[in-house]
Amino acid sequence: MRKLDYTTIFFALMGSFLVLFILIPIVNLMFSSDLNSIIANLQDSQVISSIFISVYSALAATLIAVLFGVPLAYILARHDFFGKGFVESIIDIPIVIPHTVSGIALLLVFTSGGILGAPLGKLGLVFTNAIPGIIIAMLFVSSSFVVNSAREGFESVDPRLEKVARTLGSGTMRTFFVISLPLALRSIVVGSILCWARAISEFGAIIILSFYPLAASTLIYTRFVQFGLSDSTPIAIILISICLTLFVIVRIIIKGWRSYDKN
Amino acid sequence: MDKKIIILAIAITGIGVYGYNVYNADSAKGTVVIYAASSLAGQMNATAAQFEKEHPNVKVQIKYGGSSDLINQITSLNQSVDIMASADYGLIDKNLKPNDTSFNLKNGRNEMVIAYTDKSKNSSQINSTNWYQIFSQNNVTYGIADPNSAPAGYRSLMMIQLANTFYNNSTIFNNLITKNSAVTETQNGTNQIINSPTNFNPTSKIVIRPAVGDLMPVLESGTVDYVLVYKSDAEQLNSSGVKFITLPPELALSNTTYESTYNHISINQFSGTNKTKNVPLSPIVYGITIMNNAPDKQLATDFLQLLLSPQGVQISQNNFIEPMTPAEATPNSTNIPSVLNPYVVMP
Repeated sequence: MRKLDYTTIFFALMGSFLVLFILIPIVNLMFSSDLNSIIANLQDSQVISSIFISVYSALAATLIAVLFGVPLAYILARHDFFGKGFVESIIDIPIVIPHTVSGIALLLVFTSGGILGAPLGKLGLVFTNAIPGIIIAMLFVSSSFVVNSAREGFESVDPRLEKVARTLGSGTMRTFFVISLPLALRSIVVGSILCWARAISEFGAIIILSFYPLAASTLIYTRFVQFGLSDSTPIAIILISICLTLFVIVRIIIKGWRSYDKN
Repeated sequence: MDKKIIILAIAITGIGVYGYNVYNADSAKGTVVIYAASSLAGQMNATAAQFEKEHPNVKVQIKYGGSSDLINQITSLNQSVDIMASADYGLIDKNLKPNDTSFNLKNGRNEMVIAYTDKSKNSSQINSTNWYQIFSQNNVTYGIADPNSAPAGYRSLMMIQLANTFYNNSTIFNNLITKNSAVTETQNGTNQIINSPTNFNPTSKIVIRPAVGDLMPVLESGTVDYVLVYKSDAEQLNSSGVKFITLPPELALSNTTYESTYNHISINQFSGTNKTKNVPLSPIVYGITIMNNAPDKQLATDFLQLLLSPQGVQISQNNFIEPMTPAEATPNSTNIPSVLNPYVVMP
């Protein structure tokens, strides 16, 4: 065993601050309610429907993010073009602006008279106080996870592999689906699950766009302000368990899925 | 390069220390913490600005929300609050007196109106006699505060129930509310009881927000056509294009003359749970109190003195809350600070 020097011990002590700072509140929350109230809440149809709305809206947001984000990520990974830095910054904007601001920005555009809300409304899509509103709020704040992660994935695929495929007669589209996509799939899946988890946890933009139907994060908030801690913690524990499970799956995928590495 | 970073770090630290001293409430001589109904935002902000001007180094921190929510937070989360200002004085009498506070002063009035903008559907036709017909038209949407969170919400529901009798049309409440939400009503002799479950579960016709203040941006953005709010909320946004129709005095809930017709209507908040609370319909009267465990009772008393003084009354009028002068203590109010005596009558 390597001898521990003072620097390592000192840095480990300093570093453990953040670990404990994050861990203590979460572990404490997990044990701050009793099993009976958690079970009672799992039988509450409102809790179940809210969690269902959150999980499936987040899934829809993730699928949309993958559908449009993966092609974008591929372009960003493979091509240099004028304004590339600008495009990259735009994708990251939702990470740096407050979520309530995102909510207001979306509300102005997607309200029934807004520049996107009006034409889409004619097609029967209503975004305010409806599940599509929850989905776009989630999409707005979490899509960058898919783009950034997929892009890293594509960048790790050696362009020479694609060239070889093309010299062997494969078209560019076929090359993408047969070579690039499978090799970058791990990063895309990791990005998608992070996007999903981030979408489930969204609150600020959702309450501005769609207070009802109640998403899980909104339900926890209303239970908190209406009834206090004892009624909101069991739902918080249920939701945190779902998010942590997703997160553990991500870690397992990252660890186990090493089918290809450029280096 | 290293020098630049050090200079930058010193500059940022300097600004931080300066900002902390200027803006941090703890460095002030005192803090008044107020929980207030969101419809009081205009009045309270203006009063707080005046108070801070008269008391340099004192900070007024106000949290706005639905009055039911705020009172629940005080009782269930043991928040340290100096002053509670409720949109329904009855909530203070029922939930805070006598354990959390010893007195309650009725100090202002308001009335229910229907607010809209030029973007609202059929807004050129709506008036105080046909509003419920416009509301029930296809594609017309209306916003209500959450009846479990805010007095404006439960008053809106009970006003619509009252409209059944007033317009002699027993389908209004059913068409506007029961059909479009999980709300139900039960008749008990001559008494009407509205049941408001924890999940309002509105159809696309009804927009719900936690407090009356949260409804205004929804209206302004065009997300909803009409909102049931207080007159002060609508008047404050007059310059931004918000208009309103007044309701007949029997329905506007501002006039104590009609109090006897209100007695047979009440609402069960959180119906179907063990937290059910029955709230009777009453005219819109605000109540204000200082909490027994107020961290700074002296400053809280000073603030209330300003609020009830002629200057505070003027601020109230400027912000469209009709002041009650003198303020009226509710029955069994005790320990009212003596400096407030000139502005208060006992019941």
